[in-house]
Amino acid sequence: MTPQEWLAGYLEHGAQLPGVDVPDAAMAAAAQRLRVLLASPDLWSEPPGGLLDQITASIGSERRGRSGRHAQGSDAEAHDGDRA
Amino acid sequence: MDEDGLADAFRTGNAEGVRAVYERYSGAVFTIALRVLGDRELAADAVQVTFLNAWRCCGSLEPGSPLAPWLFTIARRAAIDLYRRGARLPEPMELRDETVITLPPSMEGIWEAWQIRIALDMLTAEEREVVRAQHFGGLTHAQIARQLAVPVGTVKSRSHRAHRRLASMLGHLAEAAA
Repeated sequence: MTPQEWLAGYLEHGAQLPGVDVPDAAMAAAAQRLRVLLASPDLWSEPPGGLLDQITASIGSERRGRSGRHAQGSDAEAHDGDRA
Repeated sequence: MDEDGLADAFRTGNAEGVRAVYERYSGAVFTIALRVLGDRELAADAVQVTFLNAWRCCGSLEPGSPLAPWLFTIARRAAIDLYRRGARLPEPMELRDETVITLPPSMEGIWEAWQIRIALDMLTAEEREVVRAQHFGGLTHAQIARQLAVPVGTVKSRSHRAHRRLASMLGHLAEAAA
């Protein structure tokens, strides 16, 4: 049995069948920690609806602001060029 | 879309690019924000700050570099900044007992939670449903079968497949500890 097969069995059942050797104590402790985390509410919570719209709106607004400033900068450079 | 494609799409800042990265990673960002902040509203603020900051500095992401660890760093920082700022918390309390002081979870714990959440989000909806009912709901295979109105054998095979996939995605965390 590979360590990955052992881990799959441990994550699924919380224990292994009799006669299956634990790879080592550190891996067993890590697997136990992963299994505890799988039961944590934080791991299954979803962000509130509407958040994506707020984020795309904020990024869109900042992006337009940047484009506007860039265009103004280009205009100013063009005017400077005209004067030169 | 692969990671490079996601990063390129995100850099453009257009709605589709942001949506693609959000759909892949918002769950993981929300998970670690909740673990640090312990409050859904603050965690939602942290998600918003994370994606905005990520977009602002996505020029610093080297082409070909993986998006997930980079986004994790930004998300963790956003959550810890909000935690330190004590945003929206009531008046500071007078500390009478050292035991009331709480600290954010360890870096290792946050990283593990991030990786597990990403792995869970990679499962199919059917696999995820069974894993959720089993671990979060504490149900047996028989109970899940009744709840989903499917044979127990179907639940067992979905559970077996899902846990094998989780082990393949998370094995490095356990092996690193060994």
